[in-house]
Amino acid sequence: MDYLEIANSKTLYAIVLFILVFIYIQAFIFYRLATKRAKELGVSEDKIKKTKRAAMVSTVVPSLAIVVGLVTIAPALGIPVSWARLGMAGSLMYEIVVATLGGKVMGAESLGGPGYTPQAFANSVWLMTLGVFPSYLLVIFLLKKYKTVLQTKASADRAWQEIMATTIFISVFAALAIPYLFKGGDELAATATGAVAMLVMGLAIARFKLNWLKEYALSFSMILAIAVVVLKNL
Amino acid sequence: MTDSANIYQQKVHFIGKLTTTIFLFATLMLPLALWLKFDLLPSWEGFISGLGIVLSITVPALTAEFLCYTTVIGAAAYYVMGISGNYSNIRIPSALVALDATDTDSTTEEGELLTTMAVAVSVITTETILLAGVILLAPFTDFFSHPVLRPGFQQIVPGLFAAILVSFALKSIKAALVPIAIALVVVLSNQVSFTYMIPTVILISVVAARVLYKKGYYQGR
Repeated sequence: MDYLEIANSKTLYAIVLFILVFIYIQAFIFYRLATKRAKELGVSEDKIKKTKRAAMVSTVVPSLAIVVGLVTIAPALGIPVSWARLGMAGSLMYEIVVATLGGKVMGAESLGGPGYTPQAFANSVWLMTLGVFPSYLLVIFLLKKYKTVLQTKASADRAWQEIMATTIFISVFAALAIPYLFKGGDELAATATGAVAMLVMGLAIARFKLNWLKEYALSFSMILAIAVVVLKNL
Repeated sequence: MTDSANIYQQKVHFIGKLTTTIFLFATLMLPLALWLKFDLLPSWEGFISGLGIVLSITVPALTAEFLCYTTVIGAAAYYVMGISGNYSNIRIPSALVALDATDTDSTTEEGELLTTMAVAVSVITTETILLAGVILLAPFTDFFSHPVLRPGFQQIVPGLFAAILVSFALKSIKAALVPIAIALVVVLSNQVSFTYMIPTVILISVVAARVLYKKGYYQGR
């Protein structure tokens, strides 16, 4: 039996749909819980509406990147596994690297290429699944304790807590964005466009008090980056 | 912490731990189905050697993510994000855009609640778009694979990361200078692999920021 017949079987679709429903339910439960508590605290309806709109708008464009990822890996891993991995706990780069590795250690030349047997496919799926387990274990066993430690430290020195949070946050995105600047080509064009677009909009928001733009600036920056790369390649 | 805040936090951790545990086992259903229904198992050697390599990459990366993102969003938001993934490219940005749009501080209880709502809405949005992507895979494949558009869609992530970096650097230029300078040095030195790039930049930046904080560099920022 061709491994892709198994990879696209109804059984796997049924499992992924079950997981999807579970994710929806969990998100809904936490949304309700947070909304109820926010109302107890007197958070305005307007703020809640703004939060929902901002989150939705800023999610659309990067979610399209996931669909692009799905289009990329579904021919090699089948739709259900690609869907589950990209939309539920994974990310495109991680899945491609680990799935390829899973095949290579089983003797395959490449992901979905010669030597990518049903057993190699099974190895890819096991490795993609187990590779992110540390993330769940950290959440289950350490999140509560770590949050308590952070809250204790915050009350001890709130100014330092704020600086540390900002430093950590900017470190993450500096480490993620800066390497693209040195890759040249499309990566450089997209990175520079995203940065310049956000810089201009950020300054405009501050100078002209364009508060409505805050919700859309990130999406506009990404759309501009896409447009510049498309134009560059025409 | 007030009694009602305590009750809320207890509920969050109980539901969060429970749902994450169920999800952990639910994700095993895919490989278990391959084994139990289709009799497909990898060789023991291939599995062990592959798992060793994968965990050597994921354990430090996931631990670094856990340590830093927990400082930015609340526990409830982290439980939601934890099972749906896409931390740095979708969930954290959407939570931060929501905080920015509502002028709310992430370290307050209100900020924690708004990031939870933002991450939950973001998860529902992504999963719905992905569901549409699966249903419409054939036309989507044509659209995203179009030779004119394809290069653009492949560069969404670099544009996103750069925009987030600038957006938050603008809010606190003084605080942003240290990590940006350190990231530049680390990248240009070419001594650190991508896997360890984020924890390395965080570690050096936090130590440098602590020294500068003690010297009064951040006063009046």
